Amino acid sequence: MRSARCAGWVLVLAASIGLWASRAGAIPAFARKYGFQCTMCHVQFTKLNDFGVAFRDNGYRIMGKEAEEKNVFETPTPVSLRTSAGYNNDTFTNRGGEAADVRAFQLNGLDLLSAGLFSDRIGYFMVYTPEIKGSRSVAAQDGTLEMASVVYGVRSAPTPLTVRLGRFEPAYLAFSAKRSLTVAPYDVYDFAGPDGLAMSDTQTGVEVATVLPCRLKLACGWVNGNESQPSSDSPSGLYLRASRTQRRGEGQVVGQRAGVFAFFGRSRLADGTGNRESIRRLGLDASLNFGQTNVMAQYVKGKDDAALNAFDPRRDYDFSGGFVEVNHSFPREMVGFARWGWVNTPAEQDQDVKGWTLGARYYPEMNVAVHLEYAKREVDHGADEGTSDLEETIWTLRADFAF
Amino acid sequence: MRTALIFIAGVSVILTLALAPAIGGMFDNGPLPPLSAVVPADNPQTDAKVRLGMQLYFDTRLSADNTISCATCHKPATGWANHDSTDTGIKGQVGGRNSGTIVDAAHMKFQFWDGRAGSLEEQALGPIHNPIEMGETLENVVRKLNAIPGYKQQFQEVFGTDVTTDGIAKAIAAFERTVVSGPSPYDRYVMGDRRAMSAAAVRGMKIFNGKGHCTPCHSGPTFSDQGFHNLGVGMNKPKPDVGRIEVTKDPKDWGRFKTPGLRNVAVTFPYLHDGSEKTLMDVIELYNRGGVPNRNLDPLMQPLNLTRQEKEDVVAFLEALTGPFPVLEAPPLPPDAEASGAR
Repeated sequence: MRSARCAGWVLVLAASIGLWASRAGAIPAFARKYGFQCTMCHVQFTKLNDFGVAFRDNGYRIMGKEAEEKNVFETPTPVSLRTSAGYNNDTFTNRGGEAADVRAFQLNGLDLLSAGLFSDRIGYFMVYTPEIKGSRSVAAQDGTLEMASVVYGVRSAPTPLTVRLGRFEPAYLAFSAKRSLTVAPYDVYDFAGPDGLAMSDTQTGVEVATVLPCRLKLACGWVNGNESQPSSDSPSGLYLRASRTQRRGEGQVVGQRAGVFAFFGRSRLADGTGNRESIRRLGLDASLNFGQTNVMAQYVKGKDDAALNAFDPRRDYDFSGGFVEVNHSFPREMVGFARWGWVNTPAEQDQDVKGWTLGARYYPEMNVAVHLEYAKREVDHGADEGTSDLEETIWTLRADFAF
Repeated sequence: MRTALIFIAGVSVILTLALAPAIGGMFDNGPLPPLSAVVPADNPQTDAKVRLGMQLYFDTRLSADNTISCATCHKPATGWANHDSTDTGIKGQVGGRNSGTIVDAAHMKFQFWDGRAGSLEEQALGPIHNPIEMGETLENVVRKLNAIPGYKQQFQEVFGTDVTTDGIAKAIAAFERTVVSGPSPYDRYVMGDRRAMSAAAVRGMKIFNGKGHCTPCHSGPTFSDQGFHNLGVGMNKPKPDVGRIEVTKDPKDWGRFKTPGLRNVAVTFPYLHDGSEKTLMDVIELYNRGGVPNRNLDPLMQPLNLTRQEKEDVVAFLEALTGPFPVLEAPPLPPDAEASGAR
């Protein structure tokens, strides 16, 4: 009875928010500032289009319009919100007590966003996720300042140079984990080996990024960790990323983009000595566009020093993974997506991950998406006698909205 | 339950903040301001001045060979513009640029494609002494008009002087300020008449202000940022028209041209500074390609990846920017001195 009442609340709230958002044509912080539709910067929210990428690269300033920009004190309240509500079915087989099934209507987290300019050269972007204690009707969420960065625009478009300081999504992520169209995560980005570096985590540090006239985009950064493995004082490191787009565009909606990245860091051993050992990640990525179809591909290879290899300290910990995603924009505000991803762990661990997801998003309004997705994820427990593979099946139908 | 209530309370606070009465975005498109807002203090509108300006606008005697008037290239019947790519002046000389419309020119900060005139008064004299257009000297025009009793008398009545270049400019500018458009289907739509625009035009409006990336430049009441941009049009020619740089001498202005307003754009074809695009769809195709690459291409020019349907929707929206505007016949002009019998 109690959960039925909670579910009722959830549905009423979702419906009223959707109605409000629709009536008001409400739009998040940047869109409200400029009076734009969400699709100025997003292919379909949340994925950025080429304009959106260029806008971010230009320190949250409209390219060529830097002199006309207004700061946060001259514009509407630079606050927006994103959440989603709907039915989640997340079930496990052979879990061995690792996780509980969910079959319920739920609110799925809440992001509070603020973004804008403090001055003509200094922008900021902030995402706060309040702590939500999970219940049957509300998905649990850790409270954290997920992103909070200040960006200084040294040089403007078309060859911007920016310095970003704070907590942000580093440039080594070719495809933003925060702006993925799918509910299912990019497994290779989420995968944290014994070193504790999960690429999808935001990082705290500094990043310098620029675009050269030859359409070569470069970024380098120095970051000092994330929260994937706080007990071992998460890894810190330096990274470099280079990407280039063939033909016009940023490779998001138009143009063909290829990129590489390298991360070199050191992770503290869990033995209490305070010693650190080296870790590294190398990656290749491509984003290809064919009409309304975008193909994204990522390959990552990781190697940690043997001292970090909890499974076999005699050998370096080697793993690799990647994904290929195809999404296609259909007429009438619909996008379909499919992705196959994998992570191959070392033989001594033998917990390879394979996953795929399939789904679609329909946008009755530009800031409201009806999201349907079916995903399967399998963790191989083959080497562990007596333990069967873990299989997770997710399907969800939800309304995803930002306003 | 407690969590859900906290959640609802939080959402309410955010909604209150986020959906507070709109302060207005930086790139909103509102209705045209009243004419009084754009009339300069030193050239107030009077009926007599507007009548005089109208006569001058239609009078070919302002040109060297008495064949070309303002109305030759800015015809009321063709949206106060010209459907030729570029204009033909005296002695059959062909110019290099397309005639912009006079409709709502009063609301534009700069006149001419390169913005070399900062007011309608400044603009009015330009074509007269342009050797390709009307090819006349200002001194000669003043002399010719002073010899026409009807003009001499009207100038006395309006300005209290004989014909002067200043008076010619002010009278023509005053007339041109009356050539403004009325509410378009778009204006009626934003005022609340949800049936004023077709479904295609409404979709096009969203694309215009979203995926089409039109608004950053085509914003404000005239749908122009009153700025200058390089779309790369004609920049691949051996000797391109370099636009604004010829006025400012600033290298940043190489290849830049004024952002035209878009009200009544559907009737003022062909398009762009050289009239190189014949239809609205052609212009949208140009933008969809991201313009023509060149060393100073505007950073806002990004390929758009619009579908055929989306392009058609944008055209439908642009057509919905057409409002009523005056279509005037040439008025009776003061006869020459010989014809009037005066000496």
